[in-house]
Amino acid sequence: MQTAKNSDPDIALILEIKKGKKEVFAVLIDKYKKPLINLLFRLVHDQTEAEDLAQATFVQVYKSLDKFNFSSRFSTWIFTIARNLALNELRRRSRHPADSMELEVESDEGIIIHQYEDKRSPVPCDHLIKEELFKKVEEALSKLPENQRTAIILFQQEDMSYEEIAEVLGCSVSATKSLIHRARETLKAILKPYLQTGQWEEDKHLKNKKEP
Amino acid sequence: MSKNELEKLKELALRGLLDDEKERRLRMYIETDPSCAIPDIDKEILLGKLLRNLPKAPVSSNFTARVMSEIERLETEPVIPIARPTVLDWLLERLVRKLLELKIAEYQSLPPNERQLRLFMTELRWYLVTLLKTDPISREMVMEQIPPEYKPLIRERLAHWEKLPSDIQKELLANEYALHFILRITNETPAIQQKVISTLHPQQQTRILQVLNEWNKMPDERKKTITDSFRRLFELSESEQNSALRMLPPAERVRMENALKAFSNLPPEDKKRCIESFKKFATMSDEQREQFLKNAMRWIEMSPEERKAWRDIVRSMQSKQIPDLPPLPPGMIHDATAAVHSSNLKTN
Repeated sequence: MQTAKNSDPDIALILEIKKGKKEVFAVLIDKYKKPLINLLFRLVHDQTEAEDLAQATFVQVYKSLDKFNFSSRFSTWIFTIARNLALNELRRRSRHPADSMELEVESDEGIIIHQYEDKRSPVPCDHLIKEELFKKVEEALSKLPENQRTAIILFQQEDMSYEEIAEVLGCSVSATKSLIHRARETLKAILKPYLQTGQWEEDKHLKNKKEP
Repeated sequence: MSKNELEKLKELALRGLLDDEKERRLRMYIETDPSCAIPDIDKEILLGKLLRNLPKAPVSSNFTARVMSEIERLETEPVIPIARPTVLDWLLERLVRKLLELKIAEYQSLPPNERQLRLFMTELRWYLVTLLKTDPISREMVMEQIPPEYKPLIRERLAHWEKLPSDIQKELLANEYALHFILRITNETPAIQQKVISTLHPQQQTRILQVLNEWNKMPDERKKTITDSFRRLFELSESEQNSALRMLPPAERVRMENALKAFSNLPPEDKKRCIESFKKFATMSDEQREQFLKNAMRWIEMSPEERKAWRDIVRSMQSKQIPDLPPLPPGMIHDATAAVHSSNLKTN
């Protein structure tokens, strides 16, 4: 995904789809589903929601493919759509917090009772984030403002160039660099106790470390 | 180690991509030149590695199949309008319609050749700007999408584009729309320029004035380079104009060709009647012609039943004498008229 100066590797696939080979779209889905869901999960903090948003992204991309005129890279275009959908979802949640936080149901006796989300129930990502350190990093990431979080994930995990990230975020390259810098500063401050040593890979050492 | 290599190593450190050898080189360099030191280098390297190794969110195994089946479902499902249009939708639709009507009226008021050239230029500009924004390696693939008549012109312009200095390229791409406007008014007096600009949308005015301000401050030599390149890219030379006009015949020419084709397909007796009618028409006064054309239009617009009723009335008035059909007006011998004419003859 890096190096904006290289040819866009997706052009050949897009041209095939535009010619009517719908099945080629599955190749694009396979290529982008992991990075998209990874970003969306870190924006909405819900695995099912992330997959639903990724699905909506692909459907929108498919429907708008005729309008894609190659003036930007396909990868930045698809990430921009995904981010916009996630932002819409976050706005919707902020307007209707009850939708996801609390459910009202009527009991057999006709009494309204409140059901709260069971925080202990495992979400798929929890299975993967076994290490305490990764949990702390996830927590720290979730405290970042959305634009810093998106920028740092695309930079660190998707290997996007500053130019590509700027395009996804709709801001200048210098503003993008500044976002990434501020995100790293915040993460360093939050994770300070865990970054004291150069031996982070050694699980024993990390597990012995206590949160201050 | 060069400055460039140091910057690359620093970025790799931030991205968490430093292997042992590269990390050793980076640290060694910083030790020998403390002015290049990175604050909190250990923490930066660790944070980079942590973020890189953070487990990615899992994906359901049937995700691709699910999306493809959703696309399939949407394509086969009939489109049902969900929401009723709001007042805003209605106003927007009217506004867009009005703007389109104004644009169409503007185009229709142009002489045919000029209209065709403007349409040709608009399309050429669309393809060209898309290609200029596409990275050079991918251009050939995008070129496949472009109609063949535009390809030679675009290739010639791309070759010119590649020779331009990058600062001129950036200037042209960033301000293409504004330059298009400015070059049209650049030789006018400031008062006229202001008057023309005031007709634009406020946002466009701000942008044009900003670019115009920068333009006025530019040295003449740079202005000339930009103007020449702009004209070379976004305007047509005389020979290109001629070939564009040959490729896209004016609407009048197309209409005339269709009319002649329809005429040549008529049976000999119909052709004779057409010529006689035309001779009759040619001898009419201006008023008679105007009245005749109105009548002819009314006749064309009538339903077969109405025409039959009129024929019956005329027959009864002329005691079984079959009335003459309205002669065909000049320039109206197109397919529809010819079809009506020939069906009338058969009916009679």
